Amino acid sequence: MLSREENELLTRVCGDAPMGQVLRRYWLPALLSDEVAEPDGAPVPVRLLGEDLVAFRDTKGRVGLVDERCPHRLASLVIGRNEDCGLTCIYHGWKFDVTGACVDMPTEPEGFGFKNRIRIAAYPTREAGGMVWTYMGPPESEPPFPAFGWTALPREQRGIIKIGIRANYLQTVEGAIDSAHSWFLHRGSSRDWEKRFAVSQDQSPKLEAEDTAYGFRYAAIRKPLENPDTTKYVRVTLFALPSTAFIPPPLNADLPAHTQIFVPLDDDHTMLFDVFHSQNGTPVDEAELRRGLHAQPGVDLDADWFRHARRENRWQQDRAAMRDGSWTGIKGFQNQDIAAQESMGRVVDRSREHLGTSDVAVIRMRRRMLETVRRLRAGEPLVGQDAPIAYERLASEQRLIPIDQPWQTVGAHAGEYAAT
Amino acid sequence: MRAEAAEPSVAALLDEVRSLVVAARDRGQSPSYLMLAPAAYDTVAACRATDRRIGAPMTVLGLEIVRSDDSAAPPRVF
Repeated sequence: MLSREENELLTRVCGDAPMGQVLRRYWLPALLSDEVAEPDGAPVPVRLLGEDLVAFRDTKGRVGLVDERCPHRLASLVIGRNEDCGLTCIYHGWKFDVTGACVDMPTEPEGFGFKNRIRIAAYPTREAGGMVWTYMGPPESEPPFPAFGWTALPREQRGIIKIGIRANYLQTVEGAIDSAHSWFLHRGSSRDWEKRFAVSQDQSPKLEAEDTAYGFRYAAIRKPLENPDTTKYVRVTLFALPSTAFIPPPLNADLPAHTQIFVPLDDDHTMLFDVFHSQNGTPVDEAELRRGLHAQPGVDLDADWFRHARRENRWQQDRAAMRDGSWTGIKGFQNQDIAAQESMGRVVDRSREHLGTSDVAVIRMRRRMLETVRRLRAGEPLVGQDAPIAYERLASEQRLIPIDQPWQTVGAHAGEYAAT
Repeated sequence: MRAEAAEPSVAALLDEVRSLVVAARDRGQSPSYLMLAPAAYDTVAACRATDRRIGAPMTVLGLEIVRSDDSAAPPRVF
C-alpha cells in the first residue's frame, strides 16, 4: 500500500517528474548492441523516460543516441541516411554526428553559420555486456559505470532476452524482487525447479531485508527437507538502484544465472533486459533461450519487442493446458510475469492493494526509492553514488548453511557495502 | 515514521509495521491490531475507501487498524 501521492512520485518518469530525474542519474541500457551491429547501418528508434530518440552506429563504429526529431521541421531521423560519420535528415539534408552537433546544413548559406548554432540532444553511450548503455542526467553528475561481472564475460557465455512490457516500470521491478511468487506463478516452469523442490518445499519462508550502499538485499530463509534442525536454505536476492535485480542463480551450475534490468520507456511501458550469464563457463545459447522462453523477435514479439500476447487476447492463456497441469496456461517464464504485471493495469493504484508481511522486498524497495528521491531533492548523493562500489563483485546466491550462521554471509559481497 | 509527521509516509509506515510484526512473531505473539496516531490513521484510511464501502475492515499488513488518541504515539501492534 502507498498513498496516492507516493504512488505518483514513484511511478511517474516523464518530463520533470522527480523519479524520472532520479533515473536519469544512473546508467541505463538503451538497446542491444546487435540492433546497431553495422557501421552506417539502419538507425533504430529508442524510447527512454518519455523521450523519443534514435540510435545509430556511425562510420567509425561509435554509437550515437540522439533526439529522434530533426530540429528543422521535426521529421524523424529514424528514416535518415546514416553515412560519413553522421545521420542526415532525408527531408532537407541537415546532418548530425553522435555528439548531436550539426555538421551539415545544405539549405542555408555556407557563411551564415546557422549550423554552428544548432544541435540536437545527444546522450553519452557505452557498450558493455552486449548492450548500449546511456546516461541521461547532468554531465557533472555522471556516476561511474556499473560494470557488473557478467559484462566482462565472452559473448558466448551470455544471452539477453529483451521484451517490452505494457506496464509501469515499478510493477515490473516489484515482480523481480518478489520471491514468494515463483512458487506459484512459475510452478513447473523453471529448469531449476526440481532441484529447488528437492531441497525445500517450504512455501512460507522467513524473509529478511537489509539496506546496502547499492540498494538492498533480502533473504528468503526456508526449512530444508533434510536436516531442518541444523541447516537452513537461504536464497539471497540483490537489488541495485535504480532497477536491477540479481536473481539467485540456479543450483545447477550448468544453468545460467540471470540478472534483470528494467528500463522505463515512459509511464506506461518498460523494457526488460534479462541477462543470462554463465556460472561456470558453460556456453549460453541465446537463440535457444529465446525459443525456450517464447521470446523470439518476429515470432513471439513484434518489431518493437512487445509480445503479441496481451490483454486483448488474454495473454494467449491456454485453459486446456491449465486443466492438464499447467498452473498458468502461459508459456515462458518471463511471459508469466508479464501477464501478471500487465493484468494489474498500466500504472496500478497501490492505495488499493493489501500487502502482507511476505512482501518485505517490495516494501523495502519502495522505501529505498523514495529515499533516493529525497536525496535528489536535498542535493545529496543518490543511493549507490556516495561511495565506490565494485559492481563486478555483486552476486546473488542460494545455498544451505548451518542454522546458526547469519544469512548475510550468503552472497559474494557478504559483509561489504553497508548502507549509508 | 513518526506519527506526528505532517505528511505520514505510508511506505515508511509499512516497513516499520512489518518489523514490529516480525518482532512480535519472534516473541511467539500473533498480533491482530495496529494502533496508529490520528495523522497516520487518517492517511491509511484515505487509502481504504473501497474497503469501507464494502464493509471490510481497514487493515495494514493484515492488521486491523485502531485509532490512538495520542497524536505522538508510534505505531504499535497487539
